[in-house]
Amino acid sequence: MTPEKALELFSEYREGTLDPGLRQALERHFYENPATQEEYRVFVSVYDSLSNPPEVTPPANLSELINRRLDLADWERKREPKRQLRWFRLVTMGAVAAGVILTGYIALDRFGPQTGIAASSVPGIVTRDTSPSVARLNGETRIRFWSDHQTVVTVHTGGTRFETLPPSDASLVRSDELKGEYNVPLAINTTSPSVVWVTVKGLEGTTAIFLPGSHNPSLSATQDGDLISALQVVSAKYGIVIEARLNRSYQVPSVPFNNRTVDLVLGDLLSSTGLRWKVDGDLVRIR
Amino acid sequence: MQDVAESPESDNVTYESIDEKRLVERGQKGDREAIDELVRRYQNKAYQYAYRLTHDADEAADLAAEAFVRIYTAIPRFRAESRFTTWLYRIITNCFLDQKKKEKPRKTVSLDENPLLGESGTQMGAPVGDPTESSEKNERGEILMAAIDELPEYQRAMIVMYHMEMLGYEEIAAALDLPIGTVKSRLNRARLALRELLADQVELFISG
Repeated sequence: MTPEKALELFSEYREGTLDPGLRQALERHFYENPATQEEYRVFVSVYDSLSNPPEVTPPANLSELINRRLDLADWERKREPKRQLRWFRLVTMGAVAAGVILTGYIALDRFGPQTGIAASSVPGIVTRDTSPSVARLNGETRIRFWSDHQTVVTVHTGGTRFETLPPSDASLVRSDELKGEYNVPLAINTTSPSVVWVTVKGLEGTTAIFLPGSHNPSLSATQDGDLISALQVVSAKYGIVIEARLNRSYQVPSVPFNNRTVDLVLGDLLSSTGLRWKVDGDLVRIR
Repeated sequence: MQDVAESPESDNVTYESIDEKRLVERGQKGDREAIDELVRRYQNKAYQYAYRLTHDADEAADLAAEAFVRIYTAIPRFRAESRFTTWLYRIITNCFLDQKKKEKPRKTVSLDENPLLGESGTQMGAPVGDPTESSEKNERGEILMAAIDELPEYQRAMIVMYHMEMLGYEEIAAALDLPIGTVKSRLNRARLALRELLADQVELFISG
């Protein structure tokens, strides 16, 4: 056996997976070549040291960083079909406009100048923002939103006058002018249930976020009256966050809890409103 | 009035309790929250591997994030022939290799220039005359990491996967799409290369 061949067998010999014939040949080689044996001794020391690597502690914001990148990827993915649609619309409108002009020209040519068609301007392409939504990750609640143009996101909390949303007596928490990503943690810590209102300038409707505060499983029913008050009770009863996209509030009937699932309760509560819901873990989305 | 979509809550199941296979299936159908749950479960593992490849906190976080974006994009085509974690290792390794390709040629540091691999065998900044077992272990670890940094990227990935992430040869072969025999022989070569790189610090390792 050559020293080069011996080196090739070091790992398998160390791991005890070497064929018995080769193992004997290698051991004989060690006996006859102390230098190779010494090399093997060093090899084993390095091999063994590799399996005790230093501890690695991830940064505290790792989750946030990854989620931002995923949101961006998400947004780009949703935007791509829009871009294609935009091109399709432009091409279609161009074709229609060309057809109209051609028809007008033919008509003009055939029936004289009194039947001329006035050119119409091509309307601007309007891109629509998504609504603000709630993300629950590692027990943290965040408001997420993406705007492809400069806008203002306003966050209010509380309020009791639901004639307008957000309520006229709600308190302003923050207002941010932005373009692009909005990803803000909801750091409102109250023991009683609370509502956060998120509105975006130029975007119809309000996103209401119901936070349960201290979980209160002893509640037995909602009361006749306002949907917003009822959702606050449901949020507290089931210890869940509710995100509701609302244009206004609704009058709803009283709904008993009676060991019923949140699905059944929401079914009763929302039956007259036309709103739909989706339960995702401890987050409910209502649209 | 009906639920707008099937949700795990409908049968009292939460995302946290869903097994990996079902999360992947949901992710393949575009369920973002299933992807979020996969991120939650494996982000630390991804970061740890990335950090051991790069030894740079920012670079490691960036690699981990990039890997999850690639997973999010490619998951509809994932055939689940291997475990999700094997796929994760594969993607992180590819991100790492791509990043190294993009970078300008790395400044090569000769062994004589590298303070961690110098003849003195003393880590810069290490307390002198403090021969406790723990400081020696730290010193050995630092020197070892510096030597791993000197390895070609592919060998570095293999060493980290096998010795630090405790992956078996089969899993490494699956992650790197190589025959097991090739993985074994390349790993042996990588270990021999490390031994060469550490020739000046032999005593430190043998005494350990």
